[in-house]
Amino acid sequence: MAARVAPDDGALSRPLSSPGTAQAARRGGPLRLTILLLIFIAVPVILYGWFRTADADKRAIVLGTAQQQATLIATSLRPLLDRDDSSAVERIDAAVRGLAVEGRTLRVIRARPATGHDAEFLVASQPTATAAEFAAIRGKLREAERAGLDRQNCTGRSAIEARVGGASGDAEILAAAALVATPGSCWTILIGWSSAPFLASSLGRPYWRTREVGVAGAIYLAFIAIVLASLRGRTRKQNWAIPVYPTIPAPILGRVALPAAQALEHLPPPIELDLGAPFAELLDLRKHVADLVFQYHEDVTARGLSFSYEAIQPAAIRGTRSLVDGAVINLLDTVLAASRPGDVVRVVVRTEDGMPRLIVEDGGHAGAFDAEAAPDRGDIRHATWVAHRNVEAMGGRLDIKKQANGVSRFVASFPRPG
Amino acid sequence: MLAIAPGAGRGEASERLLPSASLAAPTAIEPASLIGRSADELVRNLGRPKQEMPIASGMTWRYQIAECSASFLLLPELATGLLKVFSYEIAPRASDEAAACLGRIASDGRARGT
Repeated sequence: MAARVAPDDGALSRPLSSPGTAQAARRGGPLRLTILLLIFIAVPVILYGWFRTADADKRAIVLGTAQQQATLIATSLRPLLDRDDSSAVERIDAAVRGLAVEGRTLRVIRARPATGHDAEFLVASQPTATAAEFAAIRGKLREAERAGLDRQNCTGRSAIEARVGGASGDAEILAAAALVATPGSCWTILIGWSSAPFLASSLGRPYWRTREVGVAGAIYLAFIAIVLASLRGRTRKQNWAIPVYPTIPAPILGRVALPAAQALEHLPPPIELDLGAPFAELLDLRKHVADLVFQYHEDVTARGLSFSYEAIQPAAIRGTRSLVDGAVINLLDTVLAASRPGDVVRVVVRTEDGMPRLIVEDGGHAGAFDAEAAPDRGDIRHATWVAHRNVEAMGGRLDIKKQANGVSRFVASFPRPG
Repeated sequence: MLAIAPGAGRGEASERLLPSASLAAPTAIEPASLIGRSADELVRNLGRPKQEMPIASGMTWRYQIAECSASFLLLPELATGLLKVFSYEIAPRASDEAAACLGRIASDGRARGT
């Protein structure tokens, strides 16, 4: 039997799947899914660690910069602080006003721990501190003390990150404090930042609470959903693709000629074709059969056979090109293999009771019907079986009948396309 | 001159540093004892100032009588947010006269009923 490959369908040229391949494919699905899930879990875990490290580095840089700025301002104010007279207060206030920057608060606080007088005064403030902001200032100083600022001994400096609410409702998320010791007094320079770039940053809160990370997380989840949906769709397509036997390739039918029992063993399990799937399309059975009959013409003539082809009206069916062509090719192969020179192979496409039908008859000499049951004709049995499965996959049925005149008749009936 | 007395204590809000008898002779008031006093306490002890001027984040209160004058700088205390005496400046400058000056200011204040 000659090798037949259906026209313009690359899938038909693939070798027949072995059971091992099919089973491996079925086993491979969950394995791939598991690997994908592991990747989907591992990626954010790894990224979390990387981003956390990067965020910590960024915070260290920001805090260090803030601390440097506080120290710089303290150094610039030092000559005024050293004077320690009434007029210095005005000059300190003027200097602090000159250092005003939008989004930054600057407070100068004086304590005199050496005197035993524990009152601390807000000597200068930019902007002017409202009564409600004093609690926030005290809170930041406490945080700074916890971060290493030793105000008792007037030593050290520190930078802190904390979202401390201000009177205006804005939050100062970064603060730095520097101490300046003068004879009898300890001055604290406290700077806070509330500008938008800091507010949007991860300072004072876990970095994964930032809007950027939230958006990235949402995109990642959407990506996972899309990949899983795609994988699911591919699995369904693979179910379609498992019967890669729409036609019987040459090695099996013509050259290898597996024994019938072995050939059947190698067939993949039944398929379940979802005719509602988007890739099931309306096809003209008449056109497909006519094209294939035309392609068989040379081969048929070389064998001394001839075709009788009857198709008057279009016959619409729903299915796929590969399944239709596979069914037709295997029926033709079966009938031609069972014919002798001089036989006329009859092919008819018509619609009976609204059902499109393909009828293929042999010449009646050798009898495809008998050959299909013969133990030494595994090739014909195989081809018939494939045609049978393809027709069934499209919701139809294949009947084989030996007529009284010895003609074997194959009738493939397809459901109305609906 | 900025003068802050070491060990100056803070009394209760109602504490008076002066004898209550309005006709009593002026009693010296140690200036350092006024450090950390609130504005209300300062009024209770010295009367209303003749002049109030905003300065930095606080106020300067100036008292003046014929014999001397005194200025008090009141700044917000961090613990309460209230204006309290941060420093003072008294003329004449001699410390022994400073207390007497404040006593006379207080006496004058009582006489004025402020």
